Amino acid sequence: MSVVDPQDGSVGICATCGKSLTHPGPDGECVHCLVSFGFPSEEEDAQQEGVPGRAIFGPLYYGHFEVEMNDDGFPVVLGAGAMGVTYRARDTILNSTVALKVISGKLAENPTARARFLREARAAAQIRHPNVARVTHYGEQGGECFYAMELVHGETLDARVQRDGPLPLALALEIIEQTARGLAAGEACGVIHRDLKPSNVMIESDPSGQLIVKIIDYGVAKVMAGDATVETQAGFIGTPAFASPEQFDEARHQQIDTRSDIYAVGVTLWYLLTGRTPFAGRSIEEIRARQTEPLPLEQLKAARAPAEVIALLKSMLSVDPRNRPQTARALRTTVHRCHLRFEPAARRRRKYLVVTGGGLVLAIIFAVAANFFYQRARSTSELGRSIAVLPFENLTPDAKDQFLAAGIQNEVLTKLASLADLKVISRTSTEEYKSKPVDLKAVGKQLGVGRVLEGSVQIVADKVRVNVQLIDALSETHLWANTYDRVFDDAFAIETEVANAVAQQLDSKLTQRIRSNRPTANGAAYNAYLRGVGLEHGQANDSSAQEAGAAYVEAVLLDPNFAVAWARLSLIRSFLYSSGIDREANSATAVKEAADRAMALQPDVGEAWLAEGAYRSRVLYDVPGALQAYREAQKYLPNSALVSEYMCLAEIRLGHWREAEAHFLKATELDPRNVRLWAGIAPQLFEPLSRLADYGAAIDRALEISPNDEQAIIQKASYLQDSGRLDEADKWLARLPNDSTEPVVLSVRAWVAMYERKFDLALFWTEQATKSLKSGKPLSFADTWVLVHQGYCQEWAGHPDKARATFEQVIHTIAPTPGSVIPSGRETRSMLALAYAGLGDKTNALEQARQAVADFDKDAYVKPRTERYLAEVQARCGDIDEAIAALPHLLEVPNGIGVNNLRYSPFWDPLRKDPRFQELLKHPPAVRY
Amino acid sequence: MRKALATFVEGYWPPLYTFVRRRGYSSADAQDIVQGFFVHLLEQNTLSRADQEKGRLRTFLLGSMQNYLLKQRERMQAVKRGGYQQLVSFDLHLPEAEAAMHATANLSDVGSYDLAWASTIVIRAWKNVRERFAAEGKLEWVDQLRPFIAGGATAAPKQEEVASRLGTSVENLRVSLTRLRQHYRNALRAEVASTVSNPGDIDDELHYVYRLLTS
Repeated sequence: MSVVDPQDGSVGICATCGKSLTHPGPDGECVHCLVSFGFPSEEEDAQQEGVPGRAIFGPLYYGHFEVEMNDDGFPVVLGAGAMGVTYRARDTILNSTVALKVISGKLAENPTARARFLREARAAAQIRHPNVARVTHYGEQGGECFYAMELVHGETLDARVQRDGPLPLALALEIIEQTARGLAAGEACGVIHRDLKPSNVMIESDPSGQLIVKIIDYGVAKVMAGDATVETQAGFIGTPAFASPEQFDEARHQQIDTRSDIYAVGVTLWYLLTGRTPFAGRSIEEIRARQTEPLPLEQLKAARAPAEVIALLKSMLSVDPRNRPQTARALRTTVHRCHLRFEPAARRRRKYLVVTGGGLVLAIIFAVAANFFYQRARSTSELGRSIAVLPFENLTPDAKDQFLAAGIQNEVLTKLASLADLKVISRTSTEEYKSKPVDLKAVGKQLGVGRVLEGSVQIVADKVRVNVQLIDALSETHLWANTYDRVFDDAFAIETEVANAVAQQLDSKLTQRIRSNRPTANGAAYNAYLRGVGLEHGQANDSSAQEAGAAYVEAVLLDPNFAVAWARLSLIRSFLYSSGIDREANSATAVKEAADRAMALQPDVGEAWLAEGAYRSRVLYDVPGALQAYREAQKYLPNSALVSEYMCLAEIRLGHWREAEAHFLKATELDPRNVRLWAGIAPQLFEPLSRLADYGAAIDRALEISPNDEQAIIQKASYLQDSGRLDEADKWLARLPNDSTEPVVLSVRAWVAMYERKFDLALFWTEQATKSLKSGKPLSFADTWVLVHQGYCQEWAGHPDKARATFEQVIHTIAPTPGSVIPSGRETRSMLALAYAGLGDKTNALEQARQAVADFDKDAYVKPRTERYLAEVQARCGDIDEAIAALPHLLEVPNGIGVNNLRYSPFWDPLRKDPRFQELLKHPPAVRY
Repeated sequence: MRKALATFVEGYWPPLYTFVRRRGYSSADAQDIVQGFFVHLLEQNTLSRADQEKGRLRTFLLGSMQNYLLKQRERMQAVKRGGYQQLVSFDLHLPEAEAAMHATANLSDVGSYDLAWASTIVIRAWKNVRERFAAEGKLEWVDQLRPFIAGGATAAPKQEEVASRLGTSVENLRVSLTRLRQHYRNALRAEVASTVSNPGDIDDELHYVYRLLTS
């Protein structure tokens, strides 16, 4: 058959791809289509979706997953069911193997079902637990849905029992315990499995040979609920033999919760022990009938199940859900006890290492740190008085009540923390945990506490119900629980009651009563306040600090009597003031005003004293006065890591390094997972002392907690730079976005480039920073630093004219006229000096540099820096002898110069040839403090 | 040997014919030239040596033809129609070749040759697969599935239609298509492999064919 029209010789067009059929096959085949058929590329597959007739053919690809084919050309199928088929596939981007579940046509065609499926996939993807197969990707293609799951290299319980027969008791209990853990993780995310059965539970061995259970296909079954097109003939979802009675009853479908899953686990346990299901039947009706009959206990006896296990099974298989274990957590605890009973010489299975991030070193650091803090509270009574209050579960999904749970938890925590006899962990460190973490023992260890308080908050009619449980972290047993119902308006009063009750539980001798005042009656104000606190503990950069400030402003606008918010506002303002950011909004007056307001409203609140102290320190440079205020704050906030943090910083300023370190350690004990402490405070303590090992370890700790924290990454680079490991520093800096305009990022980048003598590169970075500087606007200290160093880089890169212009710009901005008042700010004057030196104006340069040293004569922290800049100025201006003479002191004094700065900084080039300089490099004195 | 040769010749004459026509020769002359060329190759024993040294058949044949044409003038007088072996039988597919030649009038001589060559490869591979499935008794399947694979002048039907026509499920249809595809890929690769002497060139040649037909 030819497609050529014999009359005019014209050729046809392919209806599929639109190309001319110039070289058709014997039956009119289009060679363009054919060759594409033989060459699937991803773009091709994507394009084909919309093309009629071409759209959906057995794809080798779903998204970027390529289905594996066996030798006959058939896809490798891991399993198939009513819902669809599971393939083994390769993630072509990551080059890893996954299980790819493709949901079959009928279901996929219904957009409602698809949307539901996506929701479920999302929920399942939230479940991050070693006992649940992780869902990693969801996609839709050509009208089908698919998702990618962690590939489990093992077998289903089904296959195992069919092959080997019923399992030994200990093994069965181990498996069920891990299943319950997985279930608890799902429960915490609000996902019900609905189709738990031996073929949905897999077992594999980890690299060390330990058994790991993985629940697969989480939540998918729920999607099909109520979708008539997919139900089986009897209108039933799930596998009959394992389904709970309520699943048979259509009217109760909406009420299905974890307890149904628990029922299914019960049937599974039965199956593991006996090789059969307790309710056998050939039809759904038969099974349903059996469920209400007494259990065939003789099967269990034949399997020699002990009484405890029989009792457990009876409860799990109760027809009435109220008689079953109520939560997966509870189930796990019970199974755990059983398991311990029957496996007393416990080869205790390894607990999941919570160490994230890479590296043996990190793991060691973490383990050491965790143990260190754990050992500190070694004595039982001490442990018994240490507690972490975990985030409270919010059982009320109404948006406006969103912060209710968070607020109540925060208040309970704060009130408990006011008791000096207790060790209460800060909110930052507990925030990241779920309300009901699965592994309490690990939590206890990580936070160094013996007790944990869990709670939930719920609105019931017009009342607020708070339910709390006190749990012993070590043994994971419940010590005490209670429920409080209060009328909504009076909700906050619960906190005092709860805190008092908990305190009594922890130490009945506690006589100090907890104060019952509330910080604010205004819910919106409180929300804003919590938001600010959250922002402060998130990424540490200027913009988040400013946003936090805005949140506090909002809080006090809503409630002008909100003392704590005023205090925190003052703290933020003083911080921004000291960095020279937006001096208009964060003026000395603004700082003082907020601090005064707080103090006037509530002088008996720790935060007000903290704010007062920060004002004295940062604005008035009165550090001893600040310390007095901090000590006052500590009386009201004995468990405040924040107060310890400020005291640490104050002692650093005074040059009391050992005291500073003690405060730092206390802060990390109270708030062990606060990244700011490790990545923000630790460098200020260890770097000036040239304690590079401690510096590095602290940053690694920060990275382990939060691997993508920008400040931690910057500090890592800084640490590497200080250690002379410049290539590695570059690698770490490369992790930050290339187009970042954060001044501190650009400064470090430029500085490392300068060390490496890559002046053009350094210029590139400094220009990024100076690009956004508006002329006439006052510069922050960081801006000034960048500008001055830009000038020097321009000179070193061979652009002397540009350098001059830059130096002049600096001088003009800082001191436009001879009598100008130099803006205060630690090293502004020193930068001015360097700018003069750059221009060759020796007189002015030396004058400013010396004045800077005099300005900070009493400041043990800043003074050595000014002395260093003086030496740099002297080197630059030709006073070689004076410069070299200053170096030994600068190497010895804390916060002077690190030896690698001498080695790499181009500022010391004029001195390099001098033998005295070289001697210093060879044998640098150690830091003395 | 004769049979093998016949198959070979039958497969590869269209691109050569196109090339010669593009050069400006009339249809009759082009046929004579292509005939003479193959005879010439046979006499030189070139074809049996093709495997060892010739690199890629496509370029080899093209180069040889170009050389051959250079000496054509001298030969013209010696050519008598029908005076030698008829290695190539043009009758069956000459109209297509002509049509193709006209349809690619915008291309250069080498361009036309290349396009014709690539099409030849692709179709040969397809024929291969078809024969294989036919041997398994699944010819009907292949023919029904063809529109999804090889396009054509008429729009492809819906999968459901075809599935029910074949008495199977759409699911099964897709699995068959997948299988077919795998086979076709292999066949295509094998076809290209038979035209290059160095296995390292297979991928490159394959991609060349792909590019020729999809740009």
